[in-house]
Amino acid sequence: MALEELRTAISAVDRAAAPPTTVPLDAIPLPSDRIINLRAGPTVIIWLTVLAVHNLIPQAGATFKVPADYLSPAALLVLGIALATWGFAYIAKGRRENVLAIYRVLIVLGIVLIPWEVAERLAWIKPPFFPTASKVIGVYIEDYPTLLLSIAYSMRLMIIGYVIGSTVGIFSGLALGWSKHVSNWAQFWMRLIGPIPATAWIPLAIVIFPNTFSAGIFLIAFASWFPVMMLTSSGVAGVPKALLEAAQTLGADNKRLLLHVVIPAALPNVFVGLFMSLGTAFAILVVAEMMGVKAGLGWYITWAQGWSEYHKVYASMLVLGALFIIVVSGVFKVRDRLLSWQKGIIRW
Amino acid sequence: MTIAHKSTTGGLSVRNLHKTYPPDIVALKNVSLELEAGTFTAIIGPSGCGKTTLLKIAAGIESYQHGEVFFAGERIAGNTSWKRSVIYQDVRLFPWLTAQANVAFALESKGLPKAEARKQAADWIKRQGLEAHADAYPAELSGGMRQKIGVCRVLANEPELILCDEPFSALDWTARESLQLELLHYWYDQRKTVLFVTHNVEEAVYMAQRVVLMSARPGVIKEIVDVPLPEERWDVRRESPELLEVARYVNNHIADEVRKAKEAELEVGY
Repeated sequence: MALEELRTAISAVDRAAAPPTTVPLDAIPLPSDRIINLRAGPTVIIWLTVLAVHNLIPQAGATFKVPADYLSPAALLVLGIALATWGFAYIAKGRRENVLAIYRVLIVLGIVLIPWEVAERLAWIKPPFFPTASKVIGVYIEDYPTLLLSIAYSMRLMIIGYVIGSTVGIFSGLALGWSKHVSNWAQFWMRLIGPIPATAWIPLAIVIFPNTFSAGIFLIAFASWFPVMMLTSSGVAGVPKALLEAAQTLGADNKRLLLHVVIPAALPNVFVGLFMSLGTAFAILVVAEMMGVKAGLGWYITWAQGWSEYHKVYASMLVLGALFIIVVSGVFKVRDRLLSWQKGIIRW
Repeated sequence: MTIAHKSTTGGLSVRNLHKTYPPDIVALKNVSLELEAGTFTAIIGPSGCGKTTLLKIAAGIESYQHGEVFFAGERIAGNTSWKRSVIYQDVRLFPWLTAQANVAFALESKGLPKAEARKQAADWIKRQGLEAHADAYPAELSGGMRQKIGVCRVLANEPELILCDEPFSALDWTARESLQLELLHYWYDQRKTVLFVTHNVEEAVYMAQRVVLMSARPGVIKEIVDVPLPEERWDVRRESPELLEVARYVNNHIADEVRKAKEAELEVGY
């Protein structure tokens, strides 16, 4: 029969077309030689200008002693990096996007440094509030033992507080989202207590806890608890009913539903909470260390300010920023590993 | 019609079932239906006739007000079990599990130890010729492939009652045909009780031994039509006169019901 033939023909065509023609993700065209040169050239010129401004403009105003010059070696280092990556971009063409990212940072940094350095040299702005770039760089070289120790103390306080806070947040969020009883009884109180800024707890924390370290841990834990709890509970409450029904009709009991359906389904939300609370935890970390903890970057900032050493303040602020980037990318690494299914094709 | 069936399977018995959705939408009105163990029954009717509600009640994921539902002697009232599994239209694979892990999830839910579940899931995937997709996540699969895994996930569990909620209606033609045959062969070999909800007359008549016709609002059973075709349906051509005749008969009834439902809607003023 003609109809039967047509069907066979169609299914044959379907079968032939079955292997999906996947477009590889790395098919994005690589940056051309021209683009590389257009970024590398200006980078070199800008940093040569930095070097020139720093060394050729005579220092206005009297100076008692000539401070150590850290900017010239730093600028030379940057120039070295710029030239090395320029060559690298031609050898390893696959890494060109990374090379361009480095150039973009160096260009912006150089453009900020030039007017700063001109203003310093002509004595338009005055220390100690606006120190020279050289002095800020010098902190990393002269004071690195204290700085490293401060980083270690800060990270200890931060990690302990954050881990406690988010663990409690995940469990209380699960209870709140999963159990009707818990949510009926506790929802109101959680919503009342949660949004109170952690800083408002400082007077109480100091009284309750034996030392400032444990008080600091409490404050950071409190700050990271609420966002994690709210997002976990909303994630749990938002698990598609369809998936719960599917699991139930396959025979899953409540324990299995919670561990193998609810938690994985809520995980994307949990990570949003973990990311949000990281920001507040960081803010509270610095506050706690400024309030009384006798170590860490917050303490370092307050201490440096006391001595009017503002170059140390700025240097440690940059360290805080860098630390935040590292911690966030750590959390994202964990997320990408656990949620690789969300990204579809890309897996580890 | 007598069917030799395994003693493990049970029959579904629905008596005077009544279901109202708030505020006062009568989904099922005094519905009684007996599914003998090992039979293949299709329910067909216009959309909104309560056929899916009936299926959900049998699965234990929907409540009801009056009546009784029994499966293999056990009363069903909001209790789920691996023995009464559903093949859903929207498949409902777990997106965070690979194809094979989805099958293993079902077996573990049934109570198998992890290692055993993993092994059997791999066997099932292999038997269905899906090895190439075993490690793919649902998002990476085509619709047809996803439902293949969805069917595999339910059949691997060997439930005693297989509830199908318009399982193939969203699929393309070739995928639908191959899954229909898959299910038919499974039923023929295993003699599990199957309740197949669809709105496709041709599908209902081709698959089932009995077709239950339902009318809309309130949902009541209008008629039960026996399909006088051999159990080896894969030998029956889809345009054979016997099949077309039953289909035409069912179609006319459905057309009547759809027209009535439309008139009712006009009267109520939806």
